[in-house]
Amino acid sequence: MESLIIKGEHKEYYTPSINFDAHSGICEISGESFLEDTAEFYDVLVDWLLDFCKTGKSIALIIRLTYFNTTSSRSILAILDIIKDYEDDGSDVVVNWHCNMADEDMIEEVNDYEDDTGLKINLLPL
Amino acid sequence: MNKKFDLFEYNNMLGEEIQMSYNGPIDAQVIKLVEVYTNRLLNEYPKASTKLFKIFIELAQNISFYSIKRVTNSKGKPNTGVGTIIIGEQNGCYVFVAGNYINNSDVNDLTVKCEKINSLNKTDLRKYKREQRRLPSLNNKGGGNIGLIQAAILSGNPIDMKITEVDDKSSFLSITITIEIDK
Repeated sequence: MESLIIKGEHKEYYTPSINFDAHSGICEISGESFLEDTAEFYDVLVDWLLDFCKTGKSIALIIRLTYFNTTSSRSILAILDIIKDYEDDGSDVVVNWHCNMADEDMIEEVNDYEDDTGLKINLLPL
Repeated sequence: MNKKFDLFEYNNMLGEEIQMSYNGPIDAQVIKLVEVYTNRLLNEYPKASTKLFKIFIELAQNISFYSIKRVTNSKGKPNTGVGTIIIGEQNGCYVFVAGNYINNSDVNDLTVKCEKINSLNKTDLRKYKREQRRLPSLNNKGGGNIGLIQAAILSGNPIDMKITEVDDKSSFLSITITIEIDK
């Protein structure tokens, strides 16, 4: 399968940068997420990840989002759910979330995702 | 003869505490405008201005989803929700007000939701947000359905909601969020 690369933009809406590497299994989401059509954007990511999960290869999800709105947060949850299911199926997964350690609101968001999905999310500086 | 618009009177009505006011389609151009405004505050009050912008995005999105007054915006985008927003500063707080016309059929759900939000502490609000995020989206745009909860979490203050009935079909919804500037 091919890697998925989307260049992020900060214009009227904010598109995150996507770099999902089919070879290494390192999948990175960075930048800011506030989109006009959130579902349309994240559906592509979800489909790619579901395909990748068929390979059985290990995956590392790296998130470096400095901002996302609540509509995006729903889609991010869907992605984390896929990773958790993959782990439950016996695959090797790592989730690293990089954020500004002074951003208490963001740290709480990450803790809530950890609670919600049961995934271990490593909180790291940006 | 058309009614004359008196901007002096309008200014007096808004008062000095109002920093920004807008009425019209809530679209990407308005979002940009508020982004520029809050970015100017970023150096001096990074936390409060970031919260202010995040809250604005959530409430702006609610207006674009739920306002029953809809127009084609200046860029030709049809079906854009119309609303009113005000950003003010009062007693060491940013005050953000968002208003729009809603269907009377939405009044009860909104009132119940707001009362529930205001009855919860932060830990329980986060729990409520996680529960609501797990439910299917209520609109076809994939809306989070958790914007108001998020606004309450970020502000750390109760939501001040006022609903005024206009006629047997519609009401005007006004939501005021207060953010302490030193936060």
